[in-house]
Amino acid sequence: MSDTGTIPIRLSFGGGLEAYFSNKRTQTVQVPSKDESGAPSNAAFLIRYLHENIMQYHGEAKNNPFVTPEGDVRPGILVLIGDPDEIDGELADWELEGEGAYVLKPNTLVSFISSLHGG
Amino acid sequence: MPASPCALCKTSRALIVRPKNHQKLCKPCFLHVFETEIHHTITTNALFHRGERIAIGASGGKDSTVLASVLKTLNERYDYGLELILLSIDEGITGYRDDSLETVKRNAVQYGMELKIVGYGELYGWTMDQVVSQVGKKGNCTYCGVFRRQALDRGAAMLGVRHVVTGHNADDMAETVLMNLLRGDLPRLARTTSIVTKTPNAAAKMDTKDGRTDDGIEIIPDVISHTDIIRSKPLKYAYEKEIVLYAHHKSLDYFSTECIYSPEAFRGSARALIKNLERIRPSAILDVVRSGEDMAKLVPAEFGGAQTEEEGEGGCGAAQGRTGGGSMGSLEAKLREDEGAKMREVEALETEITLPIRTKGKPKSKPKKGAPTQAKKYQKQVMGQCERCGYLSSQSVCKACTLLEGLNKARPKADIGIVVGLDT
Ligand SMILES: [Zn+2]
Ligand SMILES: [Zn+2]
Repeated sequence: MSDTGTIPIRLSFGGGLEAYFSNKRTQTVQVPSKDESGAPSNAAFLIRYLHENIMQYHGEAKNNPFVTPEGDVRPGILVLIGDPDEIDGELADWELEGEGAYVLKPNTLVSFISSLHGG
Repeated sequence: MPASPCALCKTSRALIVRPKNHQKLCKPCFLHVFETEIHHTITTNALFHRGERIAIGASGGKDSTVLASVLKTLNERYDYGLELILLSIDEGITGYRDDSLETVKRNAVQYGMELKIVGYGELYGWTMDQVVSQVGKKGNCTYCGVFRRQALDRGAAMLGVRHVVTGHNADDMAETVLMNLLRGDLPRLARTTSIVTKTPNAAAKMDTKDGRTDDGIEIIPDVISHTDIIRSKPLKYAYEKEIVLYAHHKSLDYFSTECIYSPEAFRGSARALIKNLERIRPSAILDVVRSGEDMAKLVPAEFGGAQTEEEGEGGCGAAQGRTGGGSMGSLEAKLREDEGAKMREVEALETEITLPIRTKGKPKSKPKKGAPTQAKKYQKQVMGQCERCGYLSSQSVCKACTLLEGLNKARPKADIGIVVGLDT
């Protein structure tokens, strides 16, 4: 990966996913500003990057609680995006932001909430 | 991407896409629509009546926390006149419940509700820690699962409450419909899709005048037994996704643990199928629930129309303790520790053996084990009740009582894994 700099991305994990991310509900990580092909990093790249570099999971790929073997977020995990340009500071369904195609901005907040556990 | 405006108020920024109809809503409109739909579920099914005391099976998890919050809101907004109580079950495993019970205690303060925590020790005379020290780690999950099935009913009876609500959501319902469809078990499908279920005596009472006198006054027995409980599921049509979003946008305080073990294979597969279908066609979840209801209508009453509460559906991952338990996956993981999938498989099957119980109407004479069902000429078969505790059971003594007998005789491992009727 040709490193052309990083951008800070704020993360939040809920519904038990935090167990795989240092047990922190929130953290800020530095993410490469460009993806493997040199395009601006988007949400799909962020998920790949988190899976490969940040997540602590040593089990089988098919049981990975965060991503499927195909690299998609596991169904049942909600992805919410807090765009830093939105003044309301609210998190929106990532469907409203283009899903994986959402281009990351410095200090974008991305929240992953698993709905799969607990009643 | 330019922000989309809310489909209802047309002014605020949409934050939510509703799975069932793709409607894009802002936060206040979403919260209001979500609450209003549950209000409609409650009113169209006449779930409650004024003055009723309702125990909310509370685990501290997302579903029961949202249920408590919404019921509080609706009770005030529409003046239902309900007395709402939080009811939590503590299995008595050192350390395990600490976090979830702390959450429920905070909820009780936040919602201004009375909280009753009942332990297995109180209900059965045995905490799970004591069970483990008696029978060892192997097999103790069976005890935990069997005890849990009756715990909410018994807890409610201790509180003198006849009606328990649980946080089962549309995804849970769709999962159950699919599982029963794949098993070819339409009678069970019919029973489990019902929004209201009843334990034997409540069913008998409701059968006549809805538990009321001719003047419509509710008949409240002097002593409420755990065989006299109504259970209902106000979140039956609510998507899990929306429940999580509601909790998020209302900043509700809930607890979730990571499952260490995956649920039993069959249920896990049904769950995954539901979630995958939702991704492709979000309306699929409600469509499956509705299909389940339509199929239930086709099932003759004598095969399952009575919607009686039964012992079944426990085990690892079963509704994840939405019946007040909490995150069962991790609980059973903690209990199970060094046990393999084999045991889990056996237990999962074992939960299904109570199946041939159906009907309402309480037999005055206790059904003898193995006695032919005398009910051929009845509209509905006479159900079995445990001759010790009266709980619905396919055998003369229910599994909980069988296990307790074994424990009380200090006989390690009463092997109820007997798996009667297991024919797979
Ligand atoms: Zn709106
Ligand atoms: Zn019994």
